[in-house]
Amino acid sequence: MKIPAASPWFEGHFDGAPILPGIAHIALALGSTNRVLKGVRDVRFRKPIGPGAEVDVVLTVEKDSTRFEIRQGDEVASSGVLVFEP
Amino acid sequence: MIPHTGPARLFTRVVRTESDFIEGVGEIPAMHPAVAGNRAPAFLGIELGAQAAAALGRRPLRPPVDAVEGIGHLARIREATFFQPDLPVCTPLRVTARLQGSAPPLAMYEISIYADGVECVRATISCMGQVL
Repeated sequence: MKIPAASPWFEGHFDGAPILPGIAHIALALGSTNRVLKGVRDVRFRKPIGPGAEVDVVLTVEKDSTRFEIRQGDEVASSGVLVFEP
Repeated sequence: MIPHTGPARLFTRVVRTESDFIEGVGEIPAMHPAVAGNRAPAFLGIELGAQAAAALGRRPLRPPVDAVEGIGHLARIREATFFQPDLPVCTPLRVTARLQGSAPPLAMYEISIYADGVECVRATISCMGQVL
């Protein structure tokens, strides 16, 4: 998916040097799930994502958690585990 | 104090500081992109805590020239627990951040977010360049 340059996530983060906030990576990983998020663990932000970037969100779904990776090309921009209410 | 502006700015006021601790107040603006209705997902509390941790730094913060090495960037969420699924919008939230340790260029903080005196979010995070 493409992160639109006009995404409101970039507004004020940061003026003159926009990058996607870390919490926006979590929002991307959550997508449109309606499961209740109880926590996250071992989330690592490795590479900043800028306006207009093309990313892939890769999910490995387990019973009460989902491991995610947000990839930009061959590189992992972020990864971690979302923990859901059983 | 921190480079966030507009809807990205969640941390609004310092209440007190110690050498390794900060207590402050934040608020999630209605125009924040994660807000739906009058609630915001609890994970926004992590950003509020990270901004409080950034404010704890002794150095003035500036927008990062190099995003990877930028001061105050959230580098890792070791663990976060959301005691409630969401946070109120346009409502003062108490935020605390305590330095747990540092291994330059990273510093680790324990953060908590409270709404109406009730802890909603607790997390252990690491930020870039916040070495006290």
